[in-house]
Amino acid sequence: MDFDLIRQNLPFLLQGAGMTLKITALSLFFGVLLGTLVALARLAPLKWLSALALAYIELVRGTPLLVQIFLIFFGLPQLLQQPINEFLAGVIAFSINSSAYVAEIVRSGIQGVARGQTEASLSIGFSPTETLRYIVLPQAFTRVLPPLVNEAISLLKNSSLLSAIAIVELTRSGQLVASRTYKPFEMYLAVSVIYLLMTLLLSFVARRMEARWQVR
Amino acid sequence: MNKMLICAALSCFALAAQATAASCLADVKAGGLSVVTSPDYPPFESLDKSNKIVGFDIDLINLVGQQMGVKVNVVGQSFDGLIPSLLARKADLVAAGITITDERKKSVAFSLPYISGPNAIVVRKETTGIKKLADLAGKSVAVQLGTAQEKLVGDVKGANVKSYNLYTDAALAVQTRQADAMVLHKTVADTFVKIYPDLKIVGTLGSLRTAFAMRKDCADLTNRVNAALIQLRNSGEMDKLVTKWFK
Repeated sequence: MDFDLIRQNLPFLLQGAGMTLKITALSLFFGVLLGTLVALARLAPLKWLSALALAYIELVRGTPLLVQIFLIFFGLPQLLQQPINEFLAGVIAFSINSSAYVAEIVRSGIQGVARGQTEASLSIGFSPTETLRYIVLPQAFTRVLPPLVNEAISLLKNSSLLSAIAIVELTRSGQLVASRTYKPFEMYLAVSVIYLLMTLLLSFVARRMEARWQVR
Repeated sequence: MNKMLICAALSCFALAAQATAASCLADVKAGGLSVVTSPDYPPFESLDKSNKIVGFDIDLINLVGQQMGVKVNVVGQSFDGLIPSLLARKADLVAAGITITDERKKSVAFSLPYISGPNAIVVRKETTGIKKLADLAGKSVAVQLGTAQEKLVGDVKGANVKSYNLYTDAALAVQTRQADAMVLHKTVADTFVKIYPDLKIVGTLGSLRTAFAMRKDCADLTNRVNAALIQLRNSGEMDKLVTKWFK
């Protein structure tokens, strides 16, 4: 075991971890935004809109993330006749992938809010949009927090797949050092510990949020 | 009694240690020669239509195996894992168009070089302004993870190096304009521009020597492989292979 090697390369690995966090945060933001829209479409009274949302969820959820990354990274430039930067490609692929899972999480959250809440809100004169915004979604949010944190953690770890399109995130930075030094064990050990620290931090923040927003 | 037992155990250990230090060749003769490669580097090695690993390196190591009278078993994996596999004793030899570098010499032993040639810079047909290594400054350059070319381009100030797992991914990145250029062995570049007609070679640089890699503690195996390579060169069989794969 060459711990000195880990120490020497720690700044480089942390730089990669920064990239991992950046991609995860951006993708989670757009994933939740897009996923909420898809969930609302899924619950819409319009049959065709609901069916479209379901098709989107099944399509995205039923294909491997790595394949989606390659499709976006190599396919989109051919479609647009324009190169796209791998960071952007990564965020697009991850946001789309995440949105399918988030959509189902948000849907179950919304459906978990008692029907009487909506009826009560409508009866005191809130419009359907206001009902959704002020009554249903805030309650749904507290319910979906734990599964959303799950999604955030898996997103963070899955971002290692972006190493395949030459994004130097945490896994790739470890691979780069390992391929230079031929010490893969040390590097992947260090990389694992950094991932673990990041996910532990995420869990911690989530627990604090849960405690604060607990439905009473 | 106890002392005697300990002595016996110790001498057994000593014998065993001695045996592993000098018996790579014996191990190979007993269990066959296990070879690892990265089949994304035609004509050195690639997958044929039935996804079998073929290429110059494969033919050559099979001939070497014939000379040595051992069975050769070739397994494909990604390039950056080849030397770690060798060092972890998961393989006896790397046959992957590996360039001899001082850095690698610190970790592994190389056979005699069997091919030499320059690197080539490959760009899209319509690209202008890239002719030599220094022109790669400010450009994005696709290479393979863990290769000598990755280091070469990494030393160019201002070049944005993009390391892919496979050379075929690197070529696709250039093709789809995700990278401006790629740098790889001229012989392999020749094959790639045949496969992808929208790519072209704009310049060559340096001189690379390609060899098999083995563990440093396997000097007996390295010597035996070298003897086989010399034999194959003298008999003209090496030339036949060169004609078959590179001409």
